Amino acid sequence: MTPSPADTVGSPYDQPELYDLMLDSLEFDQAFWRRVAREATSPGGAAGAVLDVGCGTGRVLLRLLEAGIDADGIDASAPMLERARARAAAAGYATRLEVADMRDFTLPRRYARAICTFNAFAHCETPDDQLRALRCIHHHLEPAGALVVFMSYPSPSYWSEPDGDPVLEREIELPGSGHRLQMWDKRFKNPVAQYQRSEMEIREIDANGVAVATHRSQAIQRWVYRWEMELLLRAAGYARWEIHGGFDGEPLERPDQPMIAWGWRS
Amino acid sequence: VSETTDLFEPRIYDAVYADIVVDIPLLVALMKSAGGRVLEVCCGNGRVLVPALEAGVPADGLDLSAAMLDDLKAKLAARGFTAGVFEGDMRDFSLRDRYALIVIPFNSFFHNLTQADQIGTLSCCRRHLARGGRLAIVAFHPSAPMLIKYGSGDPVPTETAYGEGKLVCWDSAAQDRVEQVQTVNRKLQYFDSAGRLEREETMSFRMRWAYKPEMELLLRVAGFARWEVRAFFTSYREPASAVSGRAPIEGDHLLYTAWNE
Repeated sequence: MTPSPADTVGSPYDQPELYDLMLDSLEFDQAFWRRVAREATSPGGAAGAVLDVGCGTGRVLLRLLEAGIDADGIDASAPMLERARARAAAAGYATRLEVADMRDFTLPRRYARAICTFNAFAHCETPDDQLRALRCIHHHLEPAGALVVFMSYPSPSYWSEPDGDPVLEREIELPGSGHRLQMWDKRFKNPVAQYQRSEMEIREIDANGVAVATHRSQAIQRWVYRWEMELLLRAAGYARWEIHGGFDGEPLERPDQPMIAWGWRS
Repeated sequence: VSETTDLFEPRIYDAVYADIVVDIPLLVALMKSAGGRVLEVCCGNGRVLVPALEAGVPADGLDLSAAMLDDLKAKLAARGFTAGVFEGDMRDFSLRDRYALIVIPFNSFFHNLTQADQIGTLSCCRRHLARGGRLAIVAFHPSAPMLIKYGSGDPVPTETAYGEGKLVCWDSAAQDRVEQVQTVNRKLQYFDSAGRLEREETMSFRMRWAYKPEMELLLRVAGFARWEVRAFFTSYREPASAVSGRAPIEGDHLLYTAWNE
């Protein structure tokens, strides 16, 4: 079969350096994850270990390690994880980093906290994917351990945006070059399946405003509603759960808040 | 002068939903295919149950409203039909029979306002199914444009014929888009044949919508092992369109079928 042009476009995770240029500087959630990790304790009161599920190039994980937290990471993308490994090795951190699918992985340790940051859980595209991932993570938690998931929340106005219009998601200066990088996203949405297919373009723009390079990729994100999240945690065997609408435990009341879901193993 | 009333007052229910007929032949066909006794949960005063009995379906009905059931009993008596008519709460009822098919039409499942209510209803229905029996729920899939339209605060009118005149039903909704609950504030205006306003009535009721993946998880958690979801029809106020074979889209009325295996 001849691949269509769309099939030849790779994942955004095939170019981890570019990904980091665009997104590694995101700071909005770092303090929250540090607090979640610091408050994690194992039986006996010792500091608990943290597993970053979907750790990518280590945006959050490296900061946890830098703070002296015992943290490991998995990611399904070999290029992303290789970069995380290189960065951790360069900084001299002791950590276990594995290329693994969150729906089906086996690690020897059990963790006080598993964290799923910045929409990593949206990579589970079907209820089956979601349940398999939640069960597999559950299996890797200590008896008193918890999973913490951060997800953007879908709103009626989001679903009503026209499909295919390019949206400028992020723009940064390329240090020292006078160039800028722009991340454009064309979104194609299915509100019943609750997913968004993105056709992404990262454009390097020179000082004259001319695009000197364009990198294309595509990805799918599957959004989750709050009651659905509770049912998923319940069906996956979590003993109790809480849904918050922000980093300070505030209630989730409006779709313009993020959803932070906690699921306890027992 | 505006009088406050209740959606489940039979006279008012019949007036407001007089033109809601699109689903009746689809449901009657489904009930005829059941191969055994059928229970309609939230049967009200018989909008669906009476045509089903007319078509020869062996069917019973359950509803929470005594007023609606009294009206149903009068209709059945006038036609000489016999059917079990049970006053009960869909979350927690107990009947002697086990059914080949239980149907919950017309978004009535969305009267369950909490997750515990939803799961209670599904579990209770499952317990009342014969082995191999089916639960069939017809409920809309929310559409973002409709949520925005009804949630804007501006009342949305719907006109229905009423006697020689017309009935205009104004709906606006206060929505909690995370709770998935909307409080529908409804004003009914009855106009005579000359277009003069005869009277106004207001009412308010709450419904909790559910999304398709959420509904499927509810069925799973309630103990069903197999289910399917398809588009049933597009709108109560439009002719039944051919939706068979196409994937559900937002705004569709979906048929959720779950088997008790």
